[in-house]
Amino acid sequence: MKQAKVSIKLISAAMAGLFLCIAVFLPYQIFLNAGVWFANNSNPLVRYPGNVIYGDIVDANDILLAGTYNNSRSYIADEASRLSMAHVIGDANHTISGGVETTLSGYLLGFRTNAFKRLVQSFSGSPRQGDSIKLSLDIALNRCAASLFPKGKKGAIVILDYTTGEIRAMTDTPTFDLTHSASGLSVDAVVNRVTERLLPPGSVMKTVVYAAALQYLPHIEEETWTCIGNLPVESGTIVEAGGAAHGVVTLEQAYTVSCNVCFANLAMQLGWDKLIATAKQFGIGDELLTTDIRMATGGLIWLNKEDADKGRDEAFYRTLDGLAQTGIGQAKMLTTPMEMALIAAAIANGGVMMEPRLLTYVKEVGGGAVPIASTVLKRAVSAEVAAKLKAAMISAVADGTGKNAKVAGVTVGGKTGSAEWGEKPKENLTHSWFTGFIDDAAHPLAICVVVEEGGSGGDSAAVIARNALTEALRLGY
Amino acid sequence: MKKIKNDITEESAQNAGAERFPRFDWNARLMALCIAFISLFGLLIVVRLPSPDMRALIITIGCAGSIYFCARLFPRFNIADPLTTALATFLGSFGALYQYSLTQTFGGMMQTFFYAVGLAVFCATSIVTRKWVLVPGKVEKNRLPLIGVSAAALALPMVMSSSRQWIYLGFGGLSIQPSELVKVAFIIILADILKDKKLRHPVMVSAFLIALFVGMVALQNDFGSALVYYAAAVALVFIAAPSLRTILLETGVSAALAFGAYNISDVIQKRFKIFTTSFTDFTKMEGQLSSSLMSLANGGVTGTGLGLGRSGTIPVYSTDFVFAVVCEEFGFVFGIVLLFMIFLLVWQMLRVAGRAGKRFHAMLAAGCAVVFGVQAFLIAGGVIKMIPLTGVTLPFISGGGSSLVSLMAMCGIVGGVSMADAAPRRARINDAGYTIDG
Repeated sequence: MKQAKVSIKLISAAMAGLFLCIAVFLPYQIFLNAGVWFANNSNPLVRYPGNVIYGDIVDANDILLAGTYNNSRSYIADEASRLSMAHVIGDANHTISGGVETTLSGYLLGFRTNAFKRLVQSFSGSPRQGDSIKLSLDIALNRCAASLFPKGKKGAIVILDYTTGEIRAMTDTPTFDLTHSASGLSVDAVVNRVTERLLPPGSVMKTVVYAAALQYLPHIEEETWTCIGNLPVESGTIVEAGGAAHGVVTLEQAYTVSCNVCFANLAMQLGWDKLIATAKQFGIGDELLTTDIRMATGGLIWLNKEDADKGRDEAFYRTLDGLAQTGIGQAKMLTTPMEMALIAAAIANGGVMMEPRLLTYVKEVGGGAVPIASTVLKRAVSAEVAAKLKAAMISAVADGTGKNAKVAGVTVGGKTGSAEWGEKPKENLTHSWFTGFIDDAAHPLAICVVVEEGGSGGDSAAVIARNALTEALRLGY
Repeated sequence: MKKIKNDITEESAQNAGAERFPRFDWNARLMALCIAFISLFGLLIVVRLPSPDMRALIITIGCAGSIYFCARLFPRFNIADPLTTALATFLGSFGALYQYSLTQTFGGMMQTFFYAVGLAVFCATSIVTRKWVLVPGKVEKNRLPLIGVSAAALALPMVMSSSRQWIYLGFGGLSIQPSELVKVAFIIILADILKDKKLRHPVMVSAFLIALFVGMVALQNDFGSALVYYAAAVALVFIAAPSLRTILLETGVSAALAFGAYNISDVIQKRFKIFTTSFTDFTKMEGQLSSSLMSLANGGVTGTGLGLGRSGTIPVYSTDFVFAVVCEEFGFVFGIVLLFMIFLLVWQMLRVAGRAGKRFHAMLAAGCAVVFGVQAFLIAGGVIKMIPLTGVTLPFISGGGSSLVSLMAMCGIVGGVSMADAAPRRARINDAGYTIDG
């Protein structure tokens, strides 16, 4: 019986341990994730919050973007502004799942207000008043960026501050007017093309391959490749745009002129696992926890519903041809413009990726404005690798395919991309990509522009980037 | 401390002690606290529900009254010790009141009805335990019939009804879940076999029994209950043969079972898959689990308030996910406190086991404690996405009828054990003239 008492003591300890597990895990998880769990459009408390006055949403210059008058939501008077901000703000019925109306609903509905103030409010009988929020978005810049899209093309632009992660402009087209209902609209009109549209990145992917080469292949910067305009792989051939032969190139030169042969080679040298790991470092294929926006996750082998139906898994796509094609941003690879913007931002910021955010201040009902701090999302690459990538991107704009993105007075770095897509790629215009940054501590902006079916990256997206960045500089960012 | 002669009666010893250590004082305070809480909680329900009605008032008075009477009567008539009684009645009352506030219909009174039945069962089981189970030899003679009846009861739902866990009784939608009720018999049988000095290898024999029962419950597709059965069995074996060898053996068998169960059952695989999906991306999470996490977030620290949670929108929610609903309406701090009360009951049961004079008594009490504790852990952990979800009930609070009755029966067993062991202690008081903490 004596020994049995010891057993019982051990069992008691085990039971106490079980309780402690929960008692520690629960508060920790709520502290960490409750914001994200609350702010989604299937939460009845968000959809049907009862008697509450939604808080206002203002932009970086305190211009009212959305407010509540006479129990209904009203928006900024200027239609062009309204159209440009539709997906960022989201509609009042939460049809758009990633808009600020939903992701920051905790504040707008007054759930994040100090509990004591809420108690006082509930006793006074007045409807609950939500907090107002100030965004980092500049509606003038947003409006201007939206006007830069070519007529009839779909596209997305995002401009953010890479030292703080604050988003200055985020707009896409097609869009819709917030004063009308969002239900019944097509998917194209409702989806936020910056954060949710998955597209093949084309040559902008070379940045990731470059980073992987620097990390995994020693002395890679001293090597050279000979580009004759095409590279036969297993069952296909990698060709250069326009059949151009770049001759003998070093790594940085290959990046500047966007040499497919070199990077396809590199990808094959690195192999799937190292490429996938590097992409994850940059956030592609890795779920990034962001509170203000909802991001879709891209991937090097992005399996869709058709693959699930036909029972194809990752292994099916891990061919040598696929690898070579992935090195130049094609094959089964998909990313979002926001992911590419974050990559450029991380490189410009010494390898540190800041969390993209919109919320800068919470204006409480009592009058105080609470600033919200920036957070680091992750360290994407080491500072040395980031410095080399930055130099290559600056070179690509100075002498290479990104010439059209040059902005007077500042140094711009970036990478263009012309992504083929669809069943018969040769019959379509490519998606035009540009992602880059301004290398200046006083103007720490990163940008990503996509014009779907816009043609070559250098021609379409880089020009738009130049104009958008010029406007941003003019506005003082 | 003077030695007093043997003919001092129990009463005078009590009185002598009362001067220095007033007996039952802590227990009286706890009882008062429980009654106060339940009364206030009940009044809150009466006032705050959309249509305040007499039913809630009646339930409140009934529950508060039950705590009082049980706290007074049970120790007085040697039914059960005060702490177990207080905690069991408190949790049962809270469960009855809360289930009523969730459903607010006549059906919500089912929990109250089963609580009342449970109290009677508590009382009866306690007396039966002392008079029959704990009497040496009684269980041994009836081993085979007990095993037979239990196994048959477990087999019934598998042959009788389509959902393999329940037997539907027809009137009022009542259903019985035999696997809950058989838990009690299982603990008694197993403890009896393990304590038997006449068997050469009690652990081996018990292994066969464990396999039989756990297997039958698993065949019902009720893997949560099977796990609870197994946990109780592991604890009992560990008490019967406390040695490093047992620990290693048990760990090995558990690992093998876990591995086997995972590979054989696609229900388990599916549960694991759901569990390992994203913690934050609701588009990738299964619906009920994401609802549960949303509830936790809605509740925050202080909760949304009684009745202001949105549990009404999802019916099944209030049974499996009651813990999430409690956290939503009252905040996670209250949820943890509630869990603490349940584990306090577990702790008390293990204390009773620790004080027991015989291994058989200790095993009975410890088995019941482990059932409570593991069940609470499984469901609370599953609901907050700490472990994969299993279909067990939160003791007393989300209990269906069978679960509530069987848990009360287990409290009765522990009560009976505690009173049976208290008698020799009181005799020791007489001998030594000291008082010991009741």
